[in-house]
Amino acid sequence: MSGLEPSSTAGVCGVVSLAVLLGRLHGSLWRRRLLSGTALAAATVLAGWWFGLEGITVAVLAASVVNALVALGLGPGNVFDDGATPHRPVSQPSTRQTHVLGPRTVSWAVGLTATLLSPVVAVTAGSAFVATAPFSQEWAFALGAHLIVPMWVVLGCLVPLAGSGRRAIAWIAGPTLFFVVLARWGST
Amino acid sequence: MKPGPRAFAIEWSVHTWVGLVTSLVGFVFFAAGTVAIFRDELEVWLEPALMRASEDLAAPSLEQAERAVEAAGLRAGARRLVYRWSPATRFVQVTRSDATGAARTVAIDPLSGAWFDRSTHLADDLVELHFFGHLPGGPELSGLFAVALLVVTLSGFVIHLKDLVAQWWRFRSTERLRLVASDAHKVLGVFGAPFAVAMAWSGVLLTVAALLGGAVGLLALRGDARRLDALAGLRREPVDATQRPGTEAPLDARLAVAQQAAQRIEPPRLVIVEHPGDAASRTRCLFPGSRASDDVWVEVNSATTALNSVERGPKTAFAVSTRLAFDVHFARYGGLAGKWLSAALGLAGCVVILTGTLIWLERRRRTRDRRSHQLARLTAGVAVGFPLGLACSLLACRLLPPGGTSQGFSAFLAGWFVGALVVVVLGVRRPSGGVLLATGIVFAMLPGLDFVQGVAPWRVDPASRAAAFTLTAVWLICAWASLVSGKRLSWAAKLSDTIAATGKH
Repeated sequence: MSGLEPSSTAGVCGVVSLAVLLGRLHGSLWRRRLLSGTALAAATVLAGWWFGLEGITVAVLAASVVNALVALGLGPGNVFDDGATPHRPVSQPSTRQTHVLGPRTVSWAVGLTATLLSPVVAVTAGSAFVATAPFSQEWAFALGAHLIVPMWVVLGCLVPLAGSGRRAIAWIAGPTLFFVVLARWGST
Repeated sequence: MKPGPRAFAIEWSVHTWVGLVTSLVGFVFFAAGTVAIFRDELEVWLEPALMRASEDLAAPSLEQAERAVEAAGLRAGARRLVYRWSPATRFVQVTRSDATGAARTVAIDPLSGAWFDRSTHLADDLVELHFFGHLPGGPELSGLFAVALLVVTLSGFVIHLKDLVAQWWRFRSTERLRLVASDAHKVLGVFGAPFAVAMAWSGVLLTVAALLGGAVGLLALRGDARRLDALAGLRREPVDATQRPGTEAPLDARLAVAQQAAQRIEPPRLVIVEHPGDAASRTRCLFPGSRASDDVWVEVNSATTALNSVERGPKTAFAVSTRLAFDVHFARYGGLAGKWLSAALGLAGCVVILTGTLIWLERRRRTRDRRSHQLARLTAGVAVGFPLGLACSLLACRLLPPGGTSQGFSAFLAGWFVGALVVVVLGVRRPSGGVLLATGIVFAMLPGLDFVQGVAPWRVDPASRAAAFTLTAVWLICAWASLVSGKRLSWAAKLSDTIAATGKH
């Protein structure tokens, strides 16, 4: 069930597509980016104003598809000479990439810790938020429950930076204990 | 802002290895999810009888539907009857489930009262494949993979942060394979990122929210299940049958009361009759709105038509956000254009995953190990086998005599397995091309099949016309894409050359 009629949807998509294409076809690289960015933002704001969250969602989807098509050379506009030249010879891997392709950078211990224990920290953090947030429990629960997934994901990227399994467990154990104590202390 | 060399290397490893481990599952997520977007249309297309125009000029009648429910023997021993109105057909679909959970679905024509058993559940099976619904614990597992997908997206963003603006629009189609794949990976990855994040986030919420909520309730609410249910906006009031037979008011009368209570002119989308024929029977009606707050659930006593309750929209902030996640995940925004946009971005997600694996394989050309060889074949096999399985299952559902509701899904799995096996055993290059060409031919036959079976889009019932035209367009696009990619196969050919060269050394 959708609140947007098909004609309105097509209108939103059309406005966004036009904004992107006009911006892409205009002048130099930076002018294009500025114009397409401004036009896209304006189109999204207009879509949001007319159709609320639904309009913004459709505008973002339409902009994603149109931009991707243009970037892949499937739409009007020359996208291959837009000045986005590589900053190094493309056939040579960078020193960073060489480093990555060398010895393994994340040990099994760190990987396992990040995989298995990140959700534990995230859940305890969410629980502590629910138990101690200074506003109504309904909102505290909603925000606390939604805090878990982003925190889980961020920890999944951060914990491997610990370097060793022991340090990763230490990184995890400290905050977990703190959040558990906070959650038990704050819960009624 | 850019990460230091060590952080960059670690995030690169996270992006690469988590991406590789989840690549095939991620491909199935996006591919099956793209099919699931068109579930309503597919469900109708698979049963030509649901699309056929009626010559009966009578007005639609729920009495006819009730009589058909009796005639089909759906009421005896039923724990629940669910009446469902699809936007893609005039037929009412009634699903009966008993105490053991066994279900049977019947389609009823509200004009003539004619009914028939649904012969396939392929559309539902493909939707379930999206979240591994066929496996025990499958939805929770798919939630974990969705978290992994979010980790891959975030780590990808971190490692490309420095060059993001330069790489955003860069696509060098005339360069060598690795650069083409790399550019396509970045362009589609960046532009598809908002969609991928929204889908993965909402997918996690829909699959593991109960687990996460339970854990939060255990710690923050000291295990108070009632308070947790209240905060989550869950309603758990099981209705127990009295085991005493009861009379039921006509469905028309019950729905009229519900419509009046909901202040809606249109009929409900869903009607659930709990314990039909029992003295404790209740009828629940859903009147969906365009926004979460516009949803109305009305409960009526089945015997007396007395109003039991009216619920307007989700009651708590958490329930509103869950409903929002549901709408986002199932592309219920933006009508048909929203569906097409979501389908395009879903396919872009498939390309991002496949090009990611291809980049990794190309980077390992110099190491020439056997595992790369196997991974290349497996990835190509899974990727080209999926559309073959889909095409075969569609053809089987429309051509084979009814052989059980799971026949279509069996054909899908068989086609997928055969396609993958051909590539894994025979190699990437020509076998992949052959499988894709065969897929394209089968997809191209489907619109012709509509014409032969008398359900060409312009001849079907007006209620099903949009669905029929939509799917005809989908089949033609699939046929074109399969035939073109099968013919060119540039990426697979080059990959095959790489592997062959590896074998010689």
